[in-house]
Parts: sequence; C-alpha cells; structure tokens
Amino acid sequence: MADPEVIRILHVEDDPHDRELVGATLRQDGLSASIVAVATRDEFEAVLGGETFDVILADDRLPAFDGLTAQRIAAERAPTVPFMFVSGTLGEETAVERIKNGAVDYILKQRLARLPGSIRRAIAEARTRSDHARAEIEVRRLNAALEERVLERTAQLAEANRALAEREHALRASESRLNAILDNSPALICMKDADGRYLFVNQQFERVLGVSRTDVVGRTDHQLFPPRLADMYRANDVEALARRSAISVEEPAVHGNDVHVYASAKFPLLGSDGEPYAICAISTDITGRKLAEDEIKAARLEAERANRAKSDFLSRMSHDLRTPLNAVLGFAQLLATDRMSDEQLECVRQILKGGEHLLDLINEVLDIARIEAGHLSLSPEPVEVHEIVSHAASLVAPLARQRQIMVTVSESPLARISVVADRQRLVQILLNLLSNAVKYNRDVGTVSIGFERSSDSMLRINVTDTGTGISPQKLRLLFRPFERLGAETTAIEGTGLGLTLSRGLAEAMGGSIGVVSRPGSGSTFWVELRTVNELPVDRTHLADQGAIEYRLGRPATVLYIEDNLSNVRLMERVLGRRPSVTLATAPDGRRGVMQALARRPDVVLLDLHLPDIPGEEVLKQLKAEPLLCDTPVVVLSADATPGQVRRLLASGAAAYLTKPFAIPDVLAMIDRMLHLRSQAAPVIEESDRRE
Amino acid sequence: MSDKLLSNARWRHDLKNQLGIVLGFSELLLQDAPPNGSAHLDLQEILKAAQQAMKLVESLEELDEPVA
Repeated sequence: MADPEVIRILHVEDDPHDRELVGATLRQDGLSASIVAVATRDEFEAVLGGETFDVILADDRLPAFDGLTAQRIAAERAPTVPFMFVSGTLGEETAVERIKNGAVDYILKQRLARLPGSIRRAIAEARTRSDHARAEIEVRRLNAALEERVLERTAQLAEANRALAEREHALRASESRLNAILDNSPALICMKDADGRYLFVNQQFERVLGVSRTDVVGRTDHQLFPPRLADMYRANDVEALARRSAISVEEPAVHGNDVHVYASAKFPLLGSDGEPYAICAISTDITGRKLAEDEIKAARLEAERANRAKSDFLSRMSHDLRTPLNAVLGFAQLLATDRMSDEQLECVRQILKGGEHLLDLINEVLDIARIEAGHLSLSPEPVEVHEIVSHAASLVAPLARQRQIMVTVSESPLARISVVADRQRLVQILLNLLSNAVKYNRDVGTVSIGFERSSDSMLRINVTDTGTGISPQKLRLLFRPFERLGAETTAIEGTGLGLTLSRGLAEAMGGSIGVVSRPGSGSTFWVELRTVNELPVDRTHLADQGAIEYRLGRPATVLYIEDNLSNVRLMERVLGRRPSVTLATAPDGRRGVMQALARRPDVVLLDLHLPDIPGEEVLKQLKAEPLLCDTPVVVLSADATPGQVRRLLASGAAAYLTKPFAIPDVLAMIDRMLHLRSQAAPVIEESDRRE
Repeated sequence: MSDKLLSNARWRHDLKNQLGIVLGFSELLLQDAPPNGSAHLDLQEILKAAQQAMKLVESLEELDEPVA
C-alpha cells in the first residue's frame, strides 16, 4: 500500500538510533514521511508554533523533556493532531492513563512494526474527525444561515402584510371617498358596460329619475326609458366608445311630466389593452340656463325691434322736421338776394339764423341718438392737425372779430402730426370748442390752440380761453345735454347739445374730450385723438368738383320728382337763374317715370320720400329703361344714411345732395351734370363734328 | 337717452322759440311786401313751412303725454 502523500511527523526523541529506527520502519512499510525530530520543550514548542503536522510521536521519558508534558502542550496547541507514544519502558497502567488523556496509541519500541498501521489509522481517524467537524461546522453554518433567512423572510412577509393592509385600507378610503363624491354630486352620474348595461348610478340619478340602483344595474336604456330617448343615449354612448375619448352632448330627459335638458360629458373607460370596457356619463341639468338663453334671445330681439322702431321714428322725425325747415331756409336765401332795405335784410338774416339754429337742434339730437344706437357712420382718415385746426379757426374768425378776440394756433411741430379722424366730424368738434371759447370769453380776450402728446399714440388739441372759468361743481355738468350752466338766461346762443355731441363724436373716433378750468382765469377744453405716421391724403379729386358752370345756351330739361310743393317752388326759383333750363316736375314716383319717358330730360332730380314708391325703387326703374339709363339722376334727401347713399350710388345715382341744400351747390351740381352731358353728346352726334 | 332728448321739454321749447322767431320776422316782412311780388309769395312759403314745423313739434308733445 502506497500513500501518495507525504505524512508530516513531529517526533519527540533524543536518541538518534530510535529516530532512525522509526524512519526506517515507516519507509520499509512504504509510508513516505517527512520527520521533524525535537528533543527539548523549547524545540517542540517552536516547531509546533511554525508548522502543521499529521501526527505527533513522543518518547515518554527524555533527559530534558517528557512525553506527558508534550502531550499536554500538543492538546493545547494542536488538538486535532493525533498524539502517539513510542517508548520502550511504559507500563500498562501508565499506557491506559495516557490514552485516557487523549493519546491515540501507545507503541512499544520492541513492537515498532505496529507503528505504520497505527499512524495510518490515526491519520484516517483524524481526517474523519476533521471531516466530521467540518461537516458539523458546515451544518451549523447552514443552520445559522437558514435561520437568518427565515427571520429575514418572516420580516419581509410581515412588511408585505402590513403594506397590503395599508393598501387595502387606502383603497377602501379611496373608494368611500369616491362614493361620497359620486353620491353627493348634483350631477347625474352613471356607468354602463360596452353593451349598454348599467353598472352603476349615483344617488342623484336615482333621486331625479325616480329609480333605484338595484333596479337599474344590469339593465339597458331601452329597458328603462322611452325608445326615442334610449336611442339617443345609446347613440351618444356608442360615439364616445368609438372615439375612445370624451364627448359633450345635450340630452333631454323626462322627469315625471317635465322634460329637462342635460349637458352630458360621456367618456369611455379604457382597459390596460386600450380597449373601452365601460362608458361613463356625467350629466348636468341645464334646463334653467336654456330657458334663460331663450329669454335673453327674446329680449334681444325685442330690444332690436325697439331700437329699429326708435331709429325709424328718429328718421321720420328728422325728415318731417327738415322738410319745412328746408323750405324756410331756401326761400329765405332767395329773399336775401332780393333788393331790400337794411332793416328788411336784417329780418331775413334773423329768419336764416333761426332756421339754421333749428336744423342744428334737430341734427345734434339725431347725431347723439345715432351715436348711442351705434349707427353713426364715420369715415376715418389721416387728417393733418394744423390744417384742420386752421380751417376751424378761420370759420370762427368772424365771430371772434366782433368781440376783438384773438384766435392763435401754435406753430409747434406737433401740429404737423396727422390723427385718425372723420374730417367733417373733427371740424364739428373743433368748431364747437372754438365757438364756446369765443362765446364764453371776455371781450378783447384770446383763444389759443395748442398741441401736446398725451401718450405715444395720442395727440391732444388744447383750446384755451381767457373767460371766467368754470367751478369744479359745474365742470361735472358740462357734458350733459341741454346743460348750459345758466347761459340760457344770457344772450349767448347755443343748443346746449354741442359738448354732449362733441364728446360722443370724439369717443366714436377712438378719442376723448375733457376740460381743465381755473376759475377766474379761463378754461382749456381738449380733444385727444389717435395719431398716424403716414400722410396719404389725396385730395386732388376734390379739386375738379368746383363749379363748372353750364354756360352753353343749349336748351336743357331738368325733371324734378318731388311731392312737397314748397320744395318744387324753391327749385323753380333756383333754376330761374338758368334761363336755358326748363323744369319739369312730377309729384310721385309713378308719374315721375312716365314724365321721364315722355320728356327725355337731361337731368333727373329725385326725392327719396315719395307718396307712392320709395325713391330707391324709382331710381331702379329709371335705370332699367333703355331710353333713360344714361340720364344722370341726382338724389335729394334730408336723411339718407351713409349706407343708403352708397347703395344709391351703386344703383346708378349720379350724385347725392343733402337737404337743406345751399343754392350755389344745387346750381353747381346741375351745371356739372349738364356739362358732362354736353361733352358726352358728341359721341352720339359724331358725324356732325367731323371736319 | 335719445328718447329723453326727443321728449325733452327744453328741446321742444328751443325749437318752438326759434320757430317763433322765424314766424315773427316773416310776418313782419310780409306786412311790407307788395302783395303780388315774388317776395310776398316767398314769405308765404316760409310762413307755411314754419307753421307746419310748429305743428309737428306740438304733436311731439302730445305723443309724449301718455308715456309721462
């Protein structure tokens, strides 16, 4: 038997022969061994501390050491290494005692042949022991690890249980919260599966529709509601399901005998696969709102009707009053051209002034009414401030001169700025402010017009007087209609509407108006308007509108279609200034068209208010006649709206004149029409002109 | 406000006042005008028109009453 490994042996022996004998015995037996021999305690301890051995052999009695001590030391230092006595002298009793103390064997030197077998056995036993020990340690270690894992797992389970309980609690809380919300919602909330069977309804649903949850769940709309309603509900559900997103619809519902309208939000509930598994609806009763909307709509229609009636009334009033005033002014103008005494002329001037004042009163009220109704028509354009202010100043100059009041316009570069305004309306505002500044000034006072920028985009025109000023209490009343602050008892003329109207006009143009006053030293009225940068004012077309007098002696006919005899008389007198022109007249539309066909006039003057057909209709009929379609038609009216004027011009009217007209304007218009016609004539009579 | 303006007593008063001035001066001139001259006819037209306007203003007052 050959041991593959080298057995490491510590041999406690002082006799070299004995050492050799042991070595030889082992070699002879085929045991390969490395033997370290020691003889003293010091050597023994030193070797034991430095190396490991498979077996320790010890002589029992040495001169400097003894086996018993060696056994004790080895038991301490290397307890697992088998310890064996090899001695020649040990008695049986001692041997038993040594083995009791832990030695594995006791071999007499005389019977050394037993040694190799004993060593092998001892080593094998030691190995087994050591394996056992290792196994035991391993088992212990495994047990400990297992225990640890069990503890760990137990803790984990406990944690998991706790989390689960917590989650369950949270879930229950969330569910009860959700239920509380659903059941206390004033909206009807329900949930149905994809096939339309109810899964849930809230308390409001039960209460309002008079059903109980248990009756509803599991049923469909068709089992619960009238067929047409059920069809509609289902159609809406299907649409939301198909879209996979929320829809908003209005749905009627029956409560007892009433029909209510609901605004419903319907949305599908999507599963983790993205497929809808249910449809949810939240419905709010909007019946009240619908009714209110209907009422508002009705009220708005009524208001519009009333407004229309009001503006019709205003329009009628304006016409009814302006027609006679037109006559007064027309005839007074004619009278003024007669030869008469200064005293008589003064009377005529009083009549003219009265007539103009009356027109102001009517026009201003109408303008204010139009502004309020939002019907005021403006033509905003860039207007150079200096130009328009100078124009307005020149218009009040005569009035100012009478009282030796000086009117000055600042030469500030700001005056070269243009503002956005309706030219005519801005002149109206400025005239109002300037004439007030003159009227309420002291004699030999001044009116100064200045400019300032009130913001980046606004320019302010200041009109400052040297009058007595206005107390703060009275300032508030200034812009009220008919508020003349006591001036009605003085000789100062005015309608009491000027500032009210000016404010309305300024605001309609996107501007504003105001006043600053220092009692005792004067007031500054200002108007503020939006500025523009460019100046695209092309006024060349206005230049050729100057009177082109029709001087040809060629006879011409003017047909005047007008029902008011005063107006007809006036026109007769006006055209008396053009002896070559014959005036034909017709008192209504039907006869107007007949006369036009019979007499083929050169110009038709057409009043808009005729007793039989509206003037607009007459215009269309004239334009529809092949013989008359080239005849210029001038429309005369006291109250055409800008929209109406545009329509008339589009329908073929050659021009439009506002009543009351100034006599020179009428003559200029007729001259121009006849002149244009005489220029057009050669086209027809071309052969006569050929040379 | 336009309703109030139209039915405003002061406005009507002002209108009547001015019409009165027109009527007064026209009558004054009419007294001096030769009966068959053109001025006579013109003045009659003025008087007629002013009277018509006066009637209208007065009719506005009647229109006003049931409302007030």
